[in-house]
Amino acid sequence: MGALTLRGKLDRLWPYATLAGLFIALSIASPHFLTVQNLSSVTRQTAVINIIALGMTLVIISGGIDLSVGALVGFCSILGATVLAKGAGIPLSLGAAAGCGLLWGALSGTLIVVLRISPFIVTLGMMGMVRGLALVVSRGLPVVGIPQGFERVGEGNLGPLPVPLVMLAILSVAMHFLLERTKLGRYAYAMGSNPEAARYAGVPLNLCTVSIYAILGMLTGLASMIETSRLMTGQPTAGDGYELRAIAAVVIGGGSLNGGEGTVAGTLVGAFIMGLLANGANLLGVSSFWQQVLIGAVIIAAVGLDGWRKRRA
Amino acid sequence: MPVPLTVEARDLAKSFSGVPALRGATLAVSAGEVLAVMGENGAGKSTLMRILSGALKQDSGTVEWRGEAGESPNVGMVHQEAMLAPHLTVAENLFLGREPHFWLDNRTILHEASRHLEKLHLSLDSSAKVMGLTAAQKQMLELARALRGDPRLLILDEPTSSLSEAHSNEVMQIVEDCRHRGMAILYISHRFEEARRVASRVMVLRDGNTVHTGDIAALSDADLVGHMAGHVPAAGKPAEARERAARGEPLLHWKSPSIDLTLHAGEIVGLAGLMGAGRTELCESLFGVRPRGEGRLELLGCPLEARSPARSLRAGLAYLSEDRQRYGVLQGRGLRENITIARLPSKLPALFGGWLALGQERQTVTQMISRLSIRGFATQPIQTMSGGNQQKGLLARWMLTQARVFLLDEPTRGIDVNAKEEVFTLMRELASQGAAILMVSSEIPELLRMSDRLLVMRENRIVCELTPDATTREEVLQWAL
Repeated sequence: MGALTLRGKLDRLWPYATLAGLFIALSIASPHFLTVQNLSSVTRQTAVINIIALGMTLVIISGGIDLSVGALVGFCSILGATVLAKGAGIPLSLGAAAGCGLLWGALSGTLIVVLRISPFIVTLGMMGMVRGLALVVSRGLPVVGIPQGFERVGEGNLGPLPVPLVMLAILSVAMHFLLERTKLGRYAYAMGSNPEAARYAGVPLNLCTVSIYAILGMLTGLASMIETSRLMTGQPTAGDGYELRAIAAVVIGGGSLNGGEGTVAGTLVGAFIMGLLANGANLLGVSSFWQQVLIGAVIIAAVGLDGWRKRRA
Repeated sequence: MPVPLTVEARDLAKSFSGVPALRGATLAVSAGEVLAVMGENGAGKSTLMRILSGALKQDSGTVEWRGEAGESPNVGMVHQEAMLAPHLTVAENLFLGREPHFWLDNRTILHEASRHLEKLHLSLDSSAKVMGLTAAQKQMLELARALRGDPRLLILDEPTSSLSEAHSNEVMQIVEDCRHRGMAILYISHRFEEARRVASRVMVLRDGNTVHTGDIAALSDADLVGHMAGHVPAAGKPAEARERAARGEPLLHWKSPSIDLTLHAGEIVGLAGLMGAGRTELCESLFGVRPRGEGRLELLGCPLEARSPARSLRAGLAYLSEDRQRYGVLQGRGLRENITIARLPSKLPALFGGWLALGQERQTVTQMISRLSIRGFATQPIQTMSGGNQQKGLLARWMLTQARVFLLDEPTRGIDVNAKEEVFTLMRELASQGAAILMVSSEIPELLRMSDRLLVMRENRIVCELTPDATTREEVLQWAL
């Protein structure tokens, strides 16, 4: 006894089946799709969104949301690029960007806890502040002078695998373990499911909230360095609109904006579905304007389908 | 000439997920008559009223409207707690859901509202925001809203429970006017004096059954209490329970200007009282989820200043809320997570306080499921389980915290007879292991059976302490009323 019903199992496979179907369809539709070069470029393109979406999964599971991550990519990008340009080396620059993201995230979390304002409003404000500060600090200009060699972070390979894919794999496993094997992960699900009941059960809501937003900030900082490496400049305007794409990846993968639901695997699938759609549309010569329409429709269809399945169950 | 309206309900029954709330309720009320409806908490009064007002559908039984043309006659309902939109004005609340046109003309609405209020002799400002009204004014507004469009049947559910005497008189005057105008009125109240003033007949509900209907003047207060409580002798306590009643050291002590409460190791203290007597508020303030006010709380000999559940739990105090859905279960999560959330087994004191020991957790949960005979499996989403099994899951959660003092607020609410017995057995087990239990319940027989001492609360005070073996359901009810 104790297993899910067959239908329940099938329902869980939905996003994976969609991804696999898309993959097969594109392999048939375009001869250029199933090539090492194309697939490696897809993973490089989606890695940035994917890594941010990992953190967003945690935030959304806990019942929150963060709109400031796109702006944070820009801010961390110019910080990391500046550190590199001063000759501090790759590890230090990655650490600086991640640390900077962590602090911004912790600040968002702290404001949510202290002011008791909804995360939507706090991070909407932070989005404006962070983007504005990035532009002020850089005077609106890209940061140049990144030493050669840094392009390996975004464009290089580790053995046969693209470096961003390796980073994504490591971070995915880490996030999966955080959600499934640590108190913080368990508390995040509890907070998102029923914050009042979690409080009555002694869950330290404030500490958890700050930690959760800090972790998302840190991942965003790391992702910003992949973006920086691909551009080889620090761009204050980098990451525009990434917050919405990260949120979309989480919800396509089965996360609920009401909190309490979401998985790492689902989010990865959600991000790759969007990545494949964009890539496939490019290969098939669909204009980028129509791509936006398509991806918007996919978001609504995925979440609508999920809601319909749950009501039926 | 139209026949005057009569509402006749016969043998109404209604269950909520298998738990009967109403078994066989029968009543008749005619135009120009006030029928008082009385009964203990949980007797089924509110369920009956919700069926009559059309908010609920009965499982069996009939409701017949005689002398009324339409199929759905106009019913006005006044709830015990005013159900109003706080950000809207008095006038907007009056017409909420019944705005005369799609285009709202504020002046017309204000005017109409003022006229309506004047007709009822209520001095309320139509343009005032409901937020700023006193409890009494809100109750008046609720009444005025129920009387919109001249209902044929008016139902009042303890309309005066939050009102002072002067305001209660005002309500009763309006009820009297309505009766003169030919409405049929059902009046729920716990106050005998009030029921006698407004009503000519009374219907008494007990455990979902109509046990008496008749002229109210023919009954003494004692008769009424007798009907409400029933003449069933309280079930005797099992012998083992009596033996371990020897109380240990005091574990919790709370002293405030209005309450002096001590709970000892090994005892179950019952707390009786009507809805709104302040029992839940007492538990919540002890647990630290509600401001405690003036007073001193000692737990296991140490003063407890903390105002957070996390600290109360660490200090050894657990609280099972009466509102299982709101403050208890984590909807959508598995039974396992629901059981262990208050005390997660962890291996290393690593980042964020711990790496979960999943193996140990699985073992603990399996043990708890079999020990409490919970019918469910570890990964089953808790909302798919029955109320009784959800409740046992929550009890398991608090037992795992290894608290010494348990505040159990309506531990048997909404669960069936067998599950109740199992919950009782668990409570005894906890007490015999040296825990102190405060058991809040609206079911007096349960309290008489389970508790070593029985306290009765009324209007936020503990008004007496009774010995369960030497008291009766009637006596407890009399103290509570």
